[in-house]
Amino acid sequence: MYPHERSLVKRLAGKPFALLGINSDPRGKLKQAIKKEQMTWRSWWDGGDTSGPIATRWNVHGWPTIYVLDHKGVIRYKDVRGTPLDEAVAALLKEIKK
Amino acid sequence: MHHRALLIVSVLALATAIPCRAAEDTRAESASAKMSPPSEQYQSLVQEYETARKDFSKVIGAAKTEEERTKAFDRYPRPEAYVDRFLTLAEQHPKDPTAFEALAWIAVNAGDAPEAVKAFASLARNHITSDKLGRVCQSLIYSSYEGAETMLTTIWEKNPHRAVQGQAAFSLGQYIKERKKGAATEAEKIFEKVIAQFGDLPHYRGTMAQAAQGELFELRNLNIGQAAPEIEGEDVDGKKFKLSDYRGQVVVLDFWGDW
Repeated sequence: MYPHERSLVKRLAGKPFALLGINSDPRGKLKQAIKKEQMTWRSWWDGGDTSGPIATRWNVHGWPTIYVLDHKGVIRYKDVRGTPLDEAVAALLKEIKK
Repeated sequence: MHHRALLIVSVLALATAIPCRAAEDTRAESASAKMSPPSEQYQSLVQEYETARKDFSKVIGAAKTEEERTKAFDRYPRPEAYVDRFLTLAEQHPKDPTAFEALAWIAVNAGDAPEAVKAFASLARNHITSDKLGRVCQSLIYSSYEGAETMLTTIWEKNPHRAVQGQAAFSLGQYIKERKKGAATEAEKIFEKVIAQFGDLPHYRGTMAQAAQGELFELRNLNIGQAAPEIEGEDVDGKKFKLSDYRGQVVVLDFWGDW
């Protein structure tokens, strides 16, 4: 996951795009991961385990779980990864230009 | 020669009915596995799988390059590969409690593999009233067993143990939510029944009522085409930020953990 996310964020730098994480690790482990994996994107720290308030509200029981939102904040895709994720983001960026 | 000696030892152990002696010999006994009681055969199969898993963890942990890691995955002990032996064990001793254990092992460890279908069918046929059926319910959700929905409904109706009924009802709701297109209303009704009938039962996210509320929230508010609920929280350094700060941008939300 990390290399693909890194390249997505790098490729879309300067575009109206944001990758936002919701992380379920203990604080120290999250800090380490951000450093080690050179994460330039932000993550909410969800309380240190998989039953944090955000994961609970969003009823997330499997990781990773992905939601893609358009520029109006509407859910447009769920659980897309790899190339389909790139294509979903590209399609939504195109909508903004219209 | 060596094998024959082991066989004699185990036959003696059985003949003199010293169970602890037989247990001590379990590991050496695989050559004469048919001689040992079903519960021991079950234990040694589980042991074999667990050992293979531990070996795999060691190899993967020691792998330094991507190539070594790929190679290490050749040694991953696929639980599907053990299904046949657990199934045979259950079929050979249908009246022994081990039969249930063997079938449940398949359901829990290899439930989504096509090989598990026979195990689910056998559990549905012979063990529908078992007090230990709860852990099997969840593995039906992503199974390829065609009778999964019927089996969950039957467990809910016929199993005499309330905790098992609750597991069956909750899993049925999840099955309908995940596997049946366009049946959101049906799933909602089931989760509402779970709250009313089994709300007080424990769940890893508190109670079944809380977990079912989570399912209802997802069914009602997290569909494609709906506005995403606000997220407010802090980053790892304690800096506050919220989802609506990013309005006007395409956003990928990634629920992740470094594991």
